[in-house]
Amino acid sequence: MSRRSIVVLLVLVFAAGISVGGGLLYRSVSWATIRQAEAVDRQARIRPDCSGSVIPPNIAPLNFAIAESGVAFCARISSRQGNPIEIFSRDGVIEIPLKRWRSLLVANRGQTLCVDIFTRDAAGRWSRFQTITNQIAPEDIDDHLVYRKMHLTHVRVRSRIGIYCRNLTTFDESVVLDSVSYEGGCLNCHSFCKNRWDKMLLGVRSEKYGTATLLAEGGVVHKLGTKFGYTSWHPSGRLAVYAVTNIPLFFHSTQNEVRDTVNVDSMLVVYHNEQHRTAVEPKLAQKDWLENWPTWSGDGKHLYFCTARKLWQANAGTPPAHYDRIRYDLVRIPYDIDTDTWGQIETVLSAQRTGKSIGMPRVSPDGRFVSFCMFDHDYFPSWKQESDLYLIDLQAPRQDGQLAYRRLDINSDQSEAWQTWSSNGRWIVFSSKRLQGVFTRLFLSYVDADGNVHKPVLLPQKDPRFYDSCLLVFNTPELVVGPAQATGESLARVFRSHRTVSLTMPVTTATPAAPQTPSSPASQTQHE
Amino acid sequence: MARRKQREKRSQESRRPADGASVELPEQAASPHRFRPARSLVFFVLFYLCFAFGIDIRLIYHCGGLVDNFPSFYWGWDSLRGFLVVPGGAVEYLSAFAAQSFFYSWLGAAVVTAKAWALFACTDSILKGVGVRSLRGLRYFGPLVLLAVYSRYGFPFLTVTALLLAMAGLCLYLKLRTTTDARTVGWFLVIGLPLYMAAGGASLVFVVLCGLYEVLIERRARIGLIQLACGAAVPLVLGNLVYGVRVLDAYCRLTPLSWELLNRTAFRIMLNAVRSLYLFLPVLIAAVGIWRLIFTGRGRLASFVGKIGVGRFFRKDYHGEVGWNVPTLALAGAAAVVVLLTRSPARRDILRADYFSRHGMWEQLLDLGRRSPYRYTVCHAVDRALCRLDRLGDEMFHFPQQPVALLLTDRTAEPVWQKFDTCMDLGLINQAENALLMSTEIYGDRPLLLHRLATIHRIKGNPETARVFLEALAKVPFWRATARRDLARLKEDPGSSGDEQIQQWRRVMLKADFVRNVDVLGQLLAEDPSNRAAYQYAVAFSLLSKDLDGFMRMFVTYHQRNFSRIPRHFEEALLVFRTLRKQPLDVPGQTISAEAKTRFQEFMQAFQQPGREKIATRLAIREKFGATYYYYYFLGR
Repeated sequence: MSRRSIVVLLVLVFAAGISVGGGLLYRSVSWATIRQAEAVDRQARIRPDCSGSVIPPNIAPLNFAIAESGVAFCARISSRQGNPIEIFSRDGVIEIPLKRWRSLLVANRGQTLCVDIFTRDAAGRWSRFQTITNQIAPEDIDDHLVYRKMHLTHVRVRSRIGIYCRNLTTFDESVVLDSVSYEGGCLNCHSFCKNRWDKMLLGVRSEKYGTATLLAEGGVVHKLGTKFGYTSWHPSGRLAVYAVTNIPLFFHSTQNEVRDTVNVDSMLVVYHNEQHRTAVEPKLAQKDWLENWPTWSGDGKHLYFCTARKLWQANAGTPPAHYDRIRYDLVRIPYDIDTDTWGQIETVLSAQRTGKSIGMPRVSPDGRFVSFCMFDHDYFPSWKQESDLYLIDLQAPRQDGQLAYRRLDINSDQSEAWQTWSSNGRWIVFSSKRLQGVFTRLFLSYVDADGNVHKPVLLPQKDPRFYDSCLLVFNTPELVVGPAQATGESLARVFRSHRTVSLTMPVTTATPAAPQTPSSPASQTQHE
Repeated sequence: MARRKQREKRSQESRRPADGASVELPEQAASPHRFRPARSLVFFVLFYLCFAFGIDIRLIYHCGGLVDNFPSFYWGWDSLRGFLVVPGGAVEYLSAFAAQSFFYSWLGAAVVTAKAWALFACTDSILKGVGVRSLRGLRYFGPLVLLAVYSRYGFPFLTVTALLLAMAGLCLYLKLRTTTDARTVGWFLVIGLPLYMAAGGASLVFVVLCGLYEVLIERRARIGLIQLACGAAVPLVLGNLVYGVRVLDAYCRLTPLSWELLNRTAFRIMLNAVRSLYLFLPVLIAAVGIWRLIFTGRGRLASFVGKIGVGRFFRKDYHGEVGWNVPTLALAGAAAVVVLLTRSPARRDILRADYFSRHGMWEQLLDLGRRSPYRYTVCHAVDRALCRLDRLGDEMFHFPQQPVALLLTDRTAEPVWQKFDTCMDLGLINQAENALLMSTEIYGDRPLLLHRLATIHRIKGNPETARVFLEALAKVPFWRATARRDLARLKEDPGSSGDEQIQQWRRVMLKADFVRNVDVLGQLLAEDPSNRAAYQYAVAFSLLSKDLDGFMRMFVTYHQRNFSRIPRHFEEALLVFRTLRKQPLDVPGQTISAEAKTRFQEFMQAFQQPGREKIATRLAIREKFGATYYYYYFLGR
């Protein structure tokens, strides 16, 4: 090494030492000053607001932006054990280091997480706001969340749409399937068996490659020759029930939510996975009834779904007359997987009792709770501003022989929908428009053993200002354990291929009377 | 060793000027010249002026419902990261950024001119590298293709940028390549791999050019074939296996074969010209190489070119000064032919009309309307301008009219882009929102659309939704100030209660909610009889439909609430109605001017005289009464 190089190296080391030392000194001086900060008698405003929430111990850092005036900001995050995390910022954006955050949370399961916020004004005075407290839940949330991201409309089927898998313990997001990989089209609901990737169904539509459902099973992907609507796997993984629907789009002239849809006709179809065949159970496909939103109980002994009496004949126009009088009941039907027999439909909660329509029911994995949406009429809560989340405790004593239901405290004045349970039954993820009107965002809420649902947190992003300018909507969340198995090109290749498992539907007297499953054209509007 | 020496010698030969013309170069370069501007300089100055003022490149940025492949660009890492996950993402991002320069005609024209110059320079460098200086006139091929495509308002910006990068890669390769096989392949890979990551499938042009060059020009078949094989494998390995894109996309991305580009109508304009740009150099190098293979010895090409006389023209004007010489005249002729053959006045009118309409340049729009023949969307824009100026009832028949153009009701064409502002003018806020959302789906997140959507949500009282659109808009070059201004307003006054314009929209907006087709204009007027835009459109629609009863109903019910006088065409319609119904021409409160009556009598005399079906008579009537409602009613379509 030449003499000149040694000198340069020494200078660099010296400069680095000065920077580190200076930084530490500045920090200690700053802390000394900050400790003498003037107390402010309120909590600081932060965005997104996660104060007073219960947070998963394995969640990625809940980065936030301090919405207070100031020229310098500081956040101190602490709990009972472990070193506190102190973050300085000039623009109020607090990005929490992942490793230290994780250590802090894991070491303090079930404890309180405190966030102290300090701001410095132009005169150099520090202010200290009241401590923001959160509770760290004892139980983890499933480590991955699968959801669909799309633009506000997909009417022309021209914009990009994709199913993505987000690692909830970090900020990593991977593509499960993107419409670009099959030259544009639609992606529909994805469903998993018991929150696992072992069995996944995903509906895809394309002008060029047709309409199909992808079945990913243990890393092997099959293309089923029909599109599954809203689908629910039986916990055994041997069968799934899906809805076949006719859901045209229409528009409101003044209502805040422009778009709307109506379930003109529908039924439920049973897909037997081992034989790759479909079957129609007459009780699930009655001519004068609209069956939708199937979901299995955790033990697989009941299929819950929504149903309403049809008020119109065929070709009644769009929307049919009296579409706004349709209200769905929540019903269930017993099923014996060993004998493949269905029992009698029983009403869980009638629309007559609630005065509202019920949609998107989901049963907790332990079978104790049924969560669902309720709204004024028809079937699609995402486009109903009044849609709220409700819960039934199936083990609670009945009132007048009927199950009690209650509206959850986590609702807002905007639409809440698309809830999903974690595999341990302690978390739900749901979509809400509470923050930014038409832009649907995903929220995580803790459900305690008594069924109390706690204040939700927004799905965290590395940049806490991410949602401020995000023009995409997030919907159809599903919590899953582990990273995706078959994704991207491995799914798209199968969809583009000609090898299709054809599914034929037996002729029944139920709706629709056609022998084939009605398939939706690729150009049919994609709903949120 | 002997082979290597032989190769070095051949390489030196290839770098030496290959034809007679070029040998004279140093002497010419050294000789003093009187000043004459370089031909290329003059060409590119004119090229710039043509783009800035002739084509008016900002019209492409504006979109006008025609350019559906203009890229969206947002500042920030989040946006960039989204691009970098696919091969070619870097060029796509940079291209999207550079395309924002079209916001200003002068800036966009400068960017396109720079790009054309880069094509020109790269082609020149490659032709020199190949040793065919006598064909350097072909340097202008790329710029002329760009001129042709942009004259038609096509937008091949992305694919041309990717091609340009591939050509630049070849220029670099020609500079860096050595006589050693391993190093040559090494340089090829050093350039080729990042090139693929940056330019996607377009980098295959680089691969093909390198391969052809080595095989046919340098006669190093082994090297060339290795390069071709490696180059062909890169998309498969890097694109398909590493990036995870499908095989077809791995090879075609950013090229004129890419389905993503071909799905866009503005890209398909003069598609073959863009494709020819891709094929031009490979075909040229292949032709030169094959020529040399057939007629071994490079002098043959030069002598042939010399024999047919081309070389003589180029030799004399090697430096390319402007003057009355054949190359200059040939270039001028080619440029003129390109401009004349590819100009598209219809598209230009449509784009300009829409531009004027969006920017409230009403008089310019009316001026354009006067000079333009009937065009669906131009007519619509003109009617909108007249309505905004409260002159629809006075002047609409001064312009060519069709009933479908007034409210864009032609079901065979659905111009959602043109719809949203008219809907907003009328008070159909949800319809406007719907049209805007569909427009974002078709044309992407165009800043104009984001701004309008923010306005819609301010009108609807959704400030948080409006804020999202404005925050996104703040990340778009040239729109930051507008977005920040609106965000500040929103912060001060979230309900926009102090914003007069918003309040005006709220006053006229439709109140009743319905989900089926109804007479929206009637509904708007029923809710707010003073909705002047709705009244003007409703009456204009009755007039265009020749529905005089409908006109009379509207006129009697709403006219006095909106106008203190009777506009000219309304007078004419009243005259027609009362004459046909044999009613007295004057009714209290609806007095028609004497001049109008006189003109109508003159028209009726001309119209009823024998032989009115003859062309000459009809033309005479049209000359005198063409701008009247009664002409439209009796003799119009």
